[in-house]
Amino acid sequence: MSQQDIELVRRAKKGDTHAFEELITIYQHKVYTLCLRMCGNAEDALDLSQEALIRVYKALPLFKEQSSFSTWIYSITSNVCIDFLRKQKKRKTVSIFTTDEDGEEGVREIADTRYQPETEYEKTELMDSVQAGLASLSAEHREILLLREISGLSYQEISELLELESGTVKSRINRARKHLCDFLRNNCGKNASNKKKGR
Amino acid sequence: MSTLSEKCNYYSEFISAYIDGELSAEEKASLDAHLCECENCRAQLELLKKIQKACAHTEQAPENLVPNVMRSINAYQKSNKRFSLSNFKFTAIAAAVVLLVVAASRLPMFEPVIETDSSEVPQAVTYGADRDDSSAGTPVPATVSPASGGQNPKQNVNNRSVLTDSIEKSSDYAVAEVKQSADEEIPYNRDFAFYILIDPDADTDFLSEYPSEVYRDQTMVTIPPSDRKTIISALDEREAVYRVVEGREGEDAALIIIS
Repeated sequence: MSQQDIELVRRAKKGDTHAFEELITIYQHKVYTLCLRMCGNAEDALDLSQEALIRVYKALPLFKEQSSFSTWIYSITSNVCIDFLRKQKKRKTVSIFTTDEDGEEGVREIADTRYQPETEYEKTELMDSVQAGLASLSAEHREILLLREISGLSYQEISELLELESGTVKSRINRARKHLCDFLRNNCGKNASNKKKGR
Repeated sequence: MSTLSEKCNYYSEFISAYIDGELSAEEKASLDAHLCECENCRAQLELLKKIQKACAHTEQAPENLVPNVMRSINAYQKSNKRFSLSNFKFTAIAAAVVLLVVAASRLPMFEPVIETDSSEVPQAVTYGADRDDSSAGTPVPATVSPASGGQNPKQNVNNRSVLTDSIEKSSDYAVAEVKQSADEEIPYNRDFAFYILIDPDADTDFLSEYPSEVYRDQTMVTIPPSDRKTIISALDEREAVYRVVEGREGEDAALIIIS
C-alpha cells in the first residue's frame, strides 16, 4: 500500500470525509472501468461504482490494512458487480433464437441487449469486440479475468480474495482468455460486416 | 510423441500465465522453445496481449461519480444519527414489552417465544461457550458464554442470569433486525452463508480478513460457511456473548454479537 493511501485511509477512518473523497478520487477510474467491463454499459457502471464506493466508506472502520487498499476496494467493487449480474440474470427473458432476413433460424450470439456495445466508451473495433466477448463470459470468468486485467492483482491475491487455489485461478483465467479469443476469432468479421449492412 | 495441438493445449495455460508474469524461469524457457517452433501459439500470444491491453484500458469515470458518492455519504451520516435515537427507543419499548410478558406469565424462568416463518423469517438460536443446557429437557433458545475470564461457565450462575436476561430483552429486536435485512434486500456477498453483526465495542480484529459493511450502526461481516466453526470457537475464546440466527432454507444465518 502506498504511503499516500496509508495516510488517507487512516485519516478517513478517523472520520475525515475530505480524506475519503481524496482516496476515492484516486481510485474512481479503475473502479468505474471494472464496473463498466463487468456490466457492459455506462449507466449501470455509474450506479455500481457509486454503490461500491459507498460500501467502501461504510466498511472502512473494519479495514485492518493487512491487504493493500486497492485489493480491498476492487474486491468490494467486484462483489457489487457480481450481485448485480446475478439479479439481472434472474430478470433476463431474451430469446436466444433469432430469424434472419432470409427466414433462416440461428442462435443469437449475445442474448442480452444490455451488453451490446452502444455507448460512448467504445472507441475501437477491438474494444467493442472485447467488451462483447467479456459479456459472453460467465460472471465468474469475467470477474476473475478483470481482477487480473484491470485491478492488476496477482494470482495469489486473487486466490485469497476468491478463496480459490492458486492453480484454479491460473486455469480459470486461461479458460476465460481462451473463450475470449475464440469469441473474437468467430465474431470480429461478423461484427464488421453487420456494421456495414446497418449503414 | 504428442501432436502439435496437444502441445499447444499444454502451452496455452503457460501463455496466459506468461503475459501475467506468473511463470517460473523454467516454465518460461520451455514456453520460449515452443513459441520458436509454433506459429499458432505465437499468434495466440499476440492476440492475448491485444486483449489484455484492451481490457486494461482505464476509462474515465463520469465527473458526477465522486460528488454523488459524497452526497450519499453525508446523507447516510445524518440519517445514522437520527436512527441511533429511534433505535434506542425501539429497544427500550421491546425490553418493556418483554418485562410485561414475564410478569404476566408468572413463570420462574423466562423463555422467549421467537416468531418464525420458515420461508421468510430467520429462526433464532443463541450460542455461547456453554451449550449443554439442552440436557435440562426443554430446549433453551438463549444460552450465553461466561461473562468474565477464567471462570467455569457452569459455575458462573449469577453472571449468566444477568447476561441471559440482557440477551432475552434484546432478542426480539435482534430478530427484527435480521428480518428487515431480508425484506430490504441488504446486499450480501455471494457464496457466504451468514452474517455477524458486531457491536461497535466488540473485539473484531480476528474478523478483519472478511468483507464487511455497516448497516444501522452495526457492522456486518460476511463469513464463508467453511469458517463458521472457527469463528464460533474464536468467539468462545473471547468469551463473547452472541446469538446465531438461522436464515432461510438453512443457508443464511446471522451471528449477532451483543457484547
